[in-house]
Amino acid sequence: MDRQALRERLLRIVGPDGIIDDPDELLVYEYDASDEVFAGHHRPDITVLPRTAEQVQEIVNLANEFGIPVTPRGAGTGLAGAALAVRGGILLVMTRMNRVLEINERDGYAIVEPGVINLELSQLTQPRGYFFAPDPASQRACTIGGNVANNSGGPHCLKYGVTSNHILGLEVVLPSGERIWTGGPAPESPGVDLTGVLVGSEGTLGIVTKVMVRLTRLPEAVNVLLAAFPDLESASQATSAIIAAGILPAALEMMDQLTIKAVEAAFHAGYPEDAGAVLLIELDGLAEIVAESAERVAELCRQCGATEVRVARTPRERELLWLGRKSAFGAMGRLSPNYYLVDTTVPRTKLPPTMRTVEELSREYRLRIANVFHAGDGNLHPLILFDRLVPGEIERVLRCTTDILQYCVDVGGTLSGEHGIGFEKRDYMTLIFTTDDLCAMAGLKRSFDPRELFNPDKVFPSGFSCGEVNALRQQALAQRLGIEFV
Amino acid sequence: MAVAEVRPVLHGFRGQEIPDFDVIRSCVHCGFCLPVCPTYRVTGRERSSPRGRIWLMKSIAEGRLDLFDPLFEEEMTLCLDCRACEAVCPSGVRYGEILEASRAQLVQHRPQTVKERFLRFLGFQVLLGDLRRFRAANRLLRLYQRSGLRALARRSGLLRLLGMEHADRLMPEINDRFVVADGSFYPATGERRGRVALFVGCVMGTSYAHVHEATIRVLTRNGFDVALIDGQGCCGALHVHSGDPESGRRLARRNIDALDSPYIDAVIVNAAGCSAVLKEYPHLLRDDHDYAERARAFSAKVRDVIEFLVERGLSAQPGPLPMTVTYQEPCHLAHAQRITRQPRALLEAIPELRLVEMAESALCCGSAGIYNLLRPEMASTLLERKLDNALATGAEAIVSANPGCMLQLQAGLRARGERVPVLHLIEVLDRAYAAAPATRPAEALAAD
Amino acid sequence: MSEQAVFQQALEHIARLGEQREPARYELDGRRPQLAVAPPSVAALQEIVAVASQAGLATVPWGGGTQMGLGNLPRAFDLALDLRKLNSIVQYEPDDLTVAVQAGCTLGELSAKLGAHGQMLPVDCPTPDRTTIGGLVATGLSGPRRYGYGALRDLLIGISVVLPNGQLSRGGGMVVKNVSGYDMMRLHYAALGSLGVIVQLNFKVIPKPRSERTVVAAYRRLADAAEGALRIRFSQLVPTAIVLLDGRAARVVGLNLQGWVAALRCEGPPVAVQRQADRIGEAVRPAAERLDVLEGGASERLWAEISGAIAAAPLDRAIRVRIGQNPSELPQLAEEIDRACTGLAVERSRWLDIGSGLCYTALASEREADLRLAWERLARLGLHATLLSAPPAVKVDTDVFGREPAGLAVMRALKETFDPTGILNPGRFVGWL
Repeated sequence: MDRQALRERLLRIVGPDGIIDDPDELLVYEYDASDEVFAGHHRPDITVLPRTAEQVQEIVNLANEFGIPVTPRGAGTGLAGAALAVRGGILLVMTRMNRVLEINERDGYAIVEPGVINLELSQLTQPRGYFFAPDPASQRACTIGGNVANNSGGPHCLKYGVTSNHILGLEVVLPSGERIWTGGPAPESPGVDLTGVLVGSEGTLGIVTKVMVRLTRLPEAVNVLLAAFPDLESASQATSAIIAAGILPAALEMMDQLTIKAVEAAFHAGYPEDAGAVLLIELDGLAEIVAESAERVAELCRQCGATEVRVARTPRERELLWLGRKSAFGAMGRLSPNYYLVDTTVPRTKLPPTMRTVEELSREYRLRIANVFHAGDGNLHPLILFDRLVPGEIERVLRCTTDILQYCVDVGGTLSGEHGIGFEKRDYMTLIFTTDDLCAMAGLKRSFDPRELFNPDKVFPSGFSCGEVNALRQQALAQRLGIEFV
Repeated sequence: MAVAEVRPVLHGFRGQEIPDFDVIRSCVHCGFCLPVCPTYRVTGRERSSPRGRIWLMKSIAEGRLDLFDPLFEEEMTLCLDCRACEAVCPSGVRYGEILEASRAQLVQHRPQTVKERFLRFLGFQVLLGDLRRFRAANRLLRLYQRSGLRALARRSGLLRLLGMEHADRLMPEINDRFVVADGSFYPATGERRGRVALFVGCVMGTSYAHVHEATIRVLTRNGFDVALIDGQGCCGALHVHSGDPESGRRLARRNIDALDSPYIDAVIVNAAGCSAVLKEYPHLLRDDHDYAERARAFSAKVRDVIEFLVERGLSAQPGPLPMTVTYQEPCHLAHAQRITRQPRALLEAIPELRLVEMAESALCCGSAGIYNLLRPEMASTLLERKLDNALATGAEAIVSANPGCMLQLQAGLRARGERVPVLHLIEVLDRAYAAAPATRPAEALAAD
Repeated sequence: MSEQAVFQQALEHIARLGEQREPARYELDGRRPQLAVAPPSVAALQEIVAVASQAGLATVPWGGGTQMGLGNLPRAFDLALDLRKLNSIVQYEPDDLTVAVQAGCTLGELSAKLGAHGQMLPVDCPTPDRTTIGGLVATGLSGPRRYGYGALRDLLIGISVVLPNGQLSRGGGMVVKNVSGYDMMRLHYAALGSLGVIVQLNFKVIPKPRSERTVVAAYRRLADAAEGALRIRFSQLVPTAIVLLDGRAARVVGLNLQGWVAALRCEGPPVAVQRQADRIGEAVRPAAERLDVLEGGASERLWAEISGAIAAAPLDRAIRVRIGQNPSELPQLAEEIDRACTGLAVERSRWLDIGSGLCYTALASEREADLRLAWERLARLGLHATLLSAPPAVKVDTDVFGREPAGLAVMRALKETFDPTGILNPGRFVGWL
C-alpha cells in the first residue's frame, strides 16, 4: 500500500487537523475501554477525524480504492474491543460529528450526529419534557453512534427497551460507499428492516453518520427505592417476586457487598455498607401507579427478607443513588489494578443458582468477584478482580470466565447482554451458535461488505469460514435423493 | 498493512519524582474523563484527554515512548491541571499527582532555555519565595498602574515590543491596602464558637485584600476569632503544579511550622487553589521523616472558608440582597476538593438573591494558575466559552471563589467591555450581612 | 436430466415429505400452486426447502392465510408450504415472561396459554383462531397498540429460520436482553418470508393488564379531533393506542357516530385505568360533540375490529393502503387522501393511527380502473405508502410497497445471498425481489 498516497488523499478530504499519523500519537488510539490484557494493543495506521457525512463517504470510497480496513470508533468506552483497529488501516473517530441537528418535540424525535454524547442529548431534551431512554453506565461519556453500534442497554432498558427500540432511522455509509437513510419517523417503512439490522452490528455493516432517535416523554412521577438484603439470594428472590407481581419497574439493579464497599469509598452514595446485597428500584409513570407500586414493591422486598427499604425523596438523593450504581465498574479500580467484566444474560428465574455458581467459581479459582447488574432483565456483570502482574492470575481469570459463560449458556442464557461481542468475546460465539447459525450471520455480513473492510475480525470467531460447508451440504443432498440438480 | 515503526526510546522516567506506576495503572481507560476535560473538548484529540495523557505516561514507563518526545511535553503543559477528571473518575486515579510528577520529570531532565530559567527564578524563588518581596513588587505595580506609566506603556506600543501585552491585560488592579500576616487578632462578635487562622497567601493579600477583610468580618460575625498568624508564606501551589515540588516542599514546611498551633480549630483559606494544595501537603511531604506526620495533622485542619461555613452552619442570618448571580466553579474547589454543594447552599441562604446556573459551570475558565500566561491560546478559547455561558444567564454578577479564576474572568470581561462584576462568594455574603440587622440569634443555616 | 424432469421429481419427493393439502385452498392473487404440503417436522421442512431451492420451485410459506393480500403478484407459484402443523408451544416460562412458539401456532392458541398465567402478546386480531404467529412476524403488520407496547418486532427475542439451502439458522435466544451476534430477528421480521422460512419465534411477553377502557369522543371537525388526540400524545398520560376514524371508518368498526371519532385506549390496574380515562376524557371533552367510555370486553372488541379493518386480508372490489407520516401531520394527510380521491368513484374510509404515525385508508369501488388510479395517487403521499391489499388486476405492473426504498441494492444482495435460486415468494417482496 502506498502510505504516502493514502495520506495525501485523506488530507484533501479532512485537512491536516483531521488526520493523525504520527506513530507516537497513534499510541493513544491503540486501546478502548476493554481490558488490554485480553484485547491487546492495536495501533491503526492512521486515525481520521471527519466532521461531515460527506467526508465519511469519501473516506470509505478511498478505503475501497486502497483496499484497507476501516474501523469506526466513538468515545472508546466500549468493553469488548469493538473499536480496536485489529488489522490496522483507518481508525475513523466520529467524535467531532457531534451536532444535534433537529429536535422535533411535536412528534417526539431528534436527529443527531453520531458523536453526540448520550447524556448530553437527554440533558438537552429534558427542559422540553423528553429524554433518550437508553442509559448505559458510561452515558456521561459514550456517544450515540457507539450506542447504535452496540445496541447499548442500561438500567432503564428494563421498561423502555434497548437502543434498538429507540432508533427510528439512520443515515449510514455502506461498505459500497453508498450513503442512504434507512427508516424514518413513521414506522414500518417497506423493505428489509435495515435500521434494525444495523443497530448492534458493531460497525461491521455500515458507518452511521446521522441518527434519528425516538425521544421518550419524561414520566409524570419517579420514585427510587433502595432495599438492603442480607444476601444475593434474598435479593434475587425479591427481584422475581416484583416481576411476578406484574410490576414493571423502570429499572431494577442489584449490587453485592464488594461493589457496595467500592462505590461507597468512591462516592458516599449512602448505600448501607453492611448489607449483603442491595436492590435499586426505580418506578416511573403516572403518579397513581407509581405510588401504588412503590408500596407494593417495598412490601415484597420486606417479605423476601429486606432489612431496610429506603426511598429517595429529592432529585439529588436519587441522583446520588444512581451515581453510585453507574460508576460501579470504574470504582473497581479501587479494589484491584485490573478487572475483567463478564456481561451475560440468563433467564431471570435462573439468577439465584447462577449467583451461587459464580460464588463457587470465585472460591475455586481464588479470585474476588464483584457483582453489579441489571437484575430485572437477568443481565449479570460478574467483575473478576485480578492483578496482571501476579503470575498465573490471567490464566485463572480466563478459565473462570469460560466456566461462568458456559454455566450461563447451559441454563439458557447468552454471551452478552449489552456490551457486545467485539474482538474480545468472539471466540465464545461457538458456545451458543452452530456453524449453520454463524454461516447465516456471515451471509448477512457478506451481503453488506463482500470485501470485509468494515471493522474486520469482529463478532465472528477467529478463522471462521463457511464457504465449503455449503457446497458439501448440497452435494450430499443431491446424492441422497438421486436427483442431478442443474 | 504493517504498523509504522515507533521512534527508538532513549529516555524514561528516572531520578526524583517518578510518576507512581501503581497510580498510572489504576486507570482502566473507561473514558469517563473525556467529556469533562476542557482541552479534550476543545481539540477532540485523545492525546489531549486525561486518559490519553495517562496512556502516554504509561508508554514512557513501559519504554514505548521517549520522555523527551515533543508530544509528551506538549500534552503535559497543555493540561490545565484542573482535575475535573479526578472528580468523575470512578477508579479514583490520582491524576494531579502523576501529572505533577511528569512535569517534574521534564523540568528535571529536559534542557531549559535561559529565559525559562530566569522567569522561574524570578517568579517562584524571588517573588513567591518571600512574600515581603512579593508585596514590594506589588507596590511597584500599583505605582505603574496609577501613575500614568501604564497608559504610556500601552500607548507607546512598548508592551507589544516586549511581548508583555497579554500579561499586562491579565494584571490585577492592585489594592491600595494590603492584608499582611502580622499576628493581628480579630475577636468573634456575638457568641464565640471557635478560633481559626486565616491563610493569607500572595495575591489575596494584595489585589484581593478586600476579600480578606470580608472574610474576617463574616467569620467573626459567625462567632469565630480570626488570627493572622505571622511566619506563613506562599502555599506553593504554583511550584508544585509546574514541576517544582522541591520548592513546594520548602514552602509547605514553613507554613506547617507557622500555622500548626494547638490553639486554633481550623486553618481557613479563601483561595481554592491554596486550600487544595494545603490539603495535599501529606502527599507532598510523604517521604519527609520529620514532616510527614505533622503534614497529616495540619491538613486535617485546613478548610476552604466556604466548606467551613457550611460545615459549622451560619449562626447569623444574612440580610436580603436582591440580585441575580451565577456561579463559576473554581476547578480546585469543585474537582480537587469536591466542594460543589456548599457554595450553592451559602448563596441560597441569602434572602432575595437568585442563583442562575450557567452551562458547563464546572468547565475550567482557562486561568489555571499561570497557565493563561503559558498557553494563552487555549486559555482564551476556554475563557470565551466560559464568558458566553456566564453572560447567557443574564446574571448581574459572576460569583467565584478563587483569585486565578477571578482575574481571568475580569480580564475577559474588560476586553469585551462588559461591566458585569466578578465577586468572591464571601464578598457577596459580606454584603448580605451589611444589609442585615446587627444581632440575630437564630441559626441561619444549620450545620452539616 | 431435463429441467422438467428435475422439477417433477422434486415435487414428487416433496409430496412424500409432508401431508398433502388441496391446492385450490391456497389461491394467491388468482393463482393456484401445483402442490400444497404441510411438513410435519422442522427436519422435513428443511429437506423440502432444500429440494425446492435446488429444483427452483417457486415456494410460498403459508400460515392462516389471513394476510395474503400483502405482496406483489408472484412471478410463479409452484408450492404452497403450509406451516400449521408446526404449531407447538416449544417452551413457556411464565416466571421469566418468555415464550418460544412454532410459526404455525395460532395467536388464539398462544393467547389462551399465556392468558392462563395472566400474560399476553399485545396483538389485536379479529381472527385469532386463524392468524398464525409466523404470519404476524413475516408480514410485520402491527395494529395501533404498537404505540403502547411496541411492535411485535420489539418483543421478538429469538428466531429460527430454515434457509433455502436447507440449513436451520438461529438468532437471538430466550433471554430478554441479548447482543450476541447479528439481529437476525429484525432481518426476517416483515421480510415477507422472502429470505427464509420462519419456523420458531421467541418472545418476551407482557403481563396482561387487569382492566381496560377506551375513551371514544366524536367531533364535527377533523381539526378538533386531531388537536385533542395530539394533545394527549404530547402529554405525560400513557394510553396504549390513539386512533382517529372518519365517519365511515367508525361505522365499519361498529361505532355509529358522525364526523370524526377519536378512540383512546387505557390499560392497566383498575384504579389507574379509571383515573387515566377520566383525565383523558377531561382533556378531550371541550370540543367534543359526544363522549363515551367503553369498558372491558366492549373496549377489547372495538380494537379487534379496528385491527381487522386495517389488516391485509385479500379483497375484491376494494383496496387498502397504509401511509406513514409524522403523527402531527396525519390530519393534513387525511385531507390529501380526500383530494386524491376527487373525480373517482370510490368510497373511502380513513383510520389515523396518531400514536404510531400511520394512516390506513380503505377504498371501495366497482371500477378497478378507479382503484388503480387512486393507488397511483396515494402511493405518492406521506413518507411511505404500501398497498396492503388489492384485487390482482390493480396489482399488475405496480410495486405494492410503493416508492423504491433506500438501500434496495443491499436488500437485493441479501436476497441473492440467502435465496440464490429465488424460490421464496418470488417477486412478491419490495422491488419485486
